[in-house]
Amino acid sequence: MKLKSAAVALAVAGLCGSTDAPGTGEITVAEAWINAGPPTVAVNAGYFEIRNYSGHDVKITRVTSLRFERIEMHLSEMRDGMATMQRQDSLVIPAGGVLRFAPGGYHLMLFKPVPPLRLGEIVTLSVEFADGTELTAAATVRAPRDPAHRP
Amino acid sequence: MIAALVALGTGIGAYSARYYGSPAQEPIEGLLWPDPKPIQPFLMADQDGREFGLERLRGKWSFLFFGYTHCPDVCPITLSVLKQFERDLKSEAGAPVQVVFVSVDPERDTPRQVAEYVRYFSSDFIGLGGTIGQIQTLSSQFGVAFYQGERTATGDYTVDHSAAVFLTDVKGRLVAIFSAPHNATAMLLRFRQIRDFLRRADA
Repeated sequence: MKLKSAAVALAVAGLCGSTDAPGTGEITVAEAWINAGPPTVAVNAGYFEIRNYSGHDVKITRVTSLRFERIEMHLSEMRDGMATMQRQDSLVIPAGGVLRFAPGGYHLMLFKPVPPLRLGEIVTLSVEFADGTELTAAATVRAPRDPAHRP
Repeated sequence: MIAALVALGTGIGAYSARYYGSPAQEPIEGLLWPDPKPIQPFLMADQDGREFGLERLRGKWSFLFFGYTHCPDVCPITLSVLKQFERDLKSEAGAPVQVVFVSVDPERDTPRQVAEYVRYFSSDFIGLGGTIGQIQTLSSQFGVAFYQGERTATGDYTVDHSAAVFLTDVKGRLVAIFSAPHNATAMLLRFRQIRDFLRRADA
């Protein structure tokens, strides 16, 4: 899959330390959250950061959760002022890199939560990699944090 | 698939239009001056089923955003920014401000769906819906394009749409365009600049 290099910070140096990374060490998933959204919406967006401290590229092939009917990875892009979304079948995180899912960029599309999400709820997401390994992330359902200061 | 509903080239000019108030003054980004665009009559319905036309833009500053309620990423983030903006602005005197969400997905966005959507962000937000033709009558005046993507096997589809926020003034003229990504603090600062500038310019 084509990797959008702009969204991938290649330098590991200078990364903020994370205390809640549930990963096994070489690959970590952190900062997971789900935009709460109106209770009537059929699809929510989810975000996280995946860091690859290993010496080789890794590929995410799927994200699943018992809480949703299905989950897709998408990329929002601005093209000539238009907001478009492209589904991503898989995403590569280069060795030593970090892939950030964030509003206006990569995001998880979380279809049809049953029952509806509750503010403050913790949702378990499973991130599957091409080599068969799997990581889990605890995503908090919340409103965007201080959107006034979003870049 | 589906119809491409593109309404560009309405003479609004570049999104990056800038106006230099005086040689020494910083430009106000997005301000359409000296050629604000008077909005022509249109007719849509608000989330309560009431008619919403040009007369409901007049007398207020209106921030318009075109989107759809099945949009998971850009739309809720933009409306969250507008909510923050509205909250920050509330303490200020002056002509009232309204935030107007215009649905570009008439197939799925029923008035009830739009009502519940906008009320989640603010009880003061207005949500508009209409037929494709009604939406186009309004959106084309803002140079807004929207395009329905292909359906998946499950019947889902996305709608590409303009990510900008548009400002109309108390006279019902399109006076400024805020390009994405949006930021409530920057939006508030720029709105004050625009408001003050137009008060002087229109005096």
